[in-house]
Amino acid sequence: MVVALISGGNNDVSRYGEIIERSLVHSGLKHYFLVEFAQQPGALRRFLDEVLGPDDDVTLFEYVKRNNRETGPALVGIELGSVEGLQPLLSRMQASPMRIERISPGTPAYAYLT
Amino acid sequence: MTQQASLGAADVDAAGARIAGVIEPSPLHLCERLSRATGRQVYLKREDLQAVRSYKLRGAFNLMAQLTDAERAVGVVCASAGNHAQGVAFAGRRLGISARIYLPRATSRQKRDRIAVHGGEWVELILAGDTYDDPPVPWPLPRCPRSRN
Repeated sequence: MVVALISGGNNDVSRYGEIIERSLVHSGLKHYFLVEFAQQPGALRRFLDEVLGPDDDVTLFEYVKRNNRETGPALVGIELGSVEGLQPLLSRMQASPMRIERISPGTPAYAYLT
Repeated sequence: MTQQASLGAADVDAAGARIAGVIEPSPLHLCERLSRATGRQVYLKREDLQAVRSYKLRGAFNLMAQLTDAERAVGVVCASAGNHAQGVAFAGRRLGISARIYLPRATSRQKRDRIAVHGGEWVELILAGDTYDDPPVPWPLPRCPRSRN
């Protein structure tokens, strides 16, 4: 038998979002990617249809359209329905013609972008 | 410090008796989720259910309850932005001892409000410095009776 002492709470309610985020990342449910979309109509729809699984949610999408380039990377945050969904997602990403780079937690790029 | 080194079971019992009238024994809950996850029976001692939402009330009240009349008249001082400050504030109001509480300037309104609610007219909040490492403004009290943070 184990007794754990909940010594108290000292949470700042304004940090709850951060706590949830860290929990999702730690449990392997939340992942970030840089996705290069072709700057043409329908690119986003293809990503949603062909790459995302039925239980995957886009929780972050940051994209700036630039007319002077043919592709533009977007920062995409994806929350998986279950941890097992990661490998199939990565496989679909690999199969897709889009260039998709995973941003791993703990890297400077991750700290900068999220 | 020598006092702490000689602390024995009898002292703990005496402290327990001093705070018994003010602090409800917190419940011990069987946590099914953690028990399932670890394969052991895991119980949670819910000190977060105290009036000030932490165990810090115990030490603050126990110390302040032992002050002499002269010390009580002088009041107490502490530096804390969180749970200890709430414990000192709660004990101050219960015991009629005024408390001056120093907080870093960046302390959130939520915390300041909680301290003020527990202490009422018995606490004075002073925002000073950016962190606890900043030297405090000179202590305005003539002496600080065994106050700990």
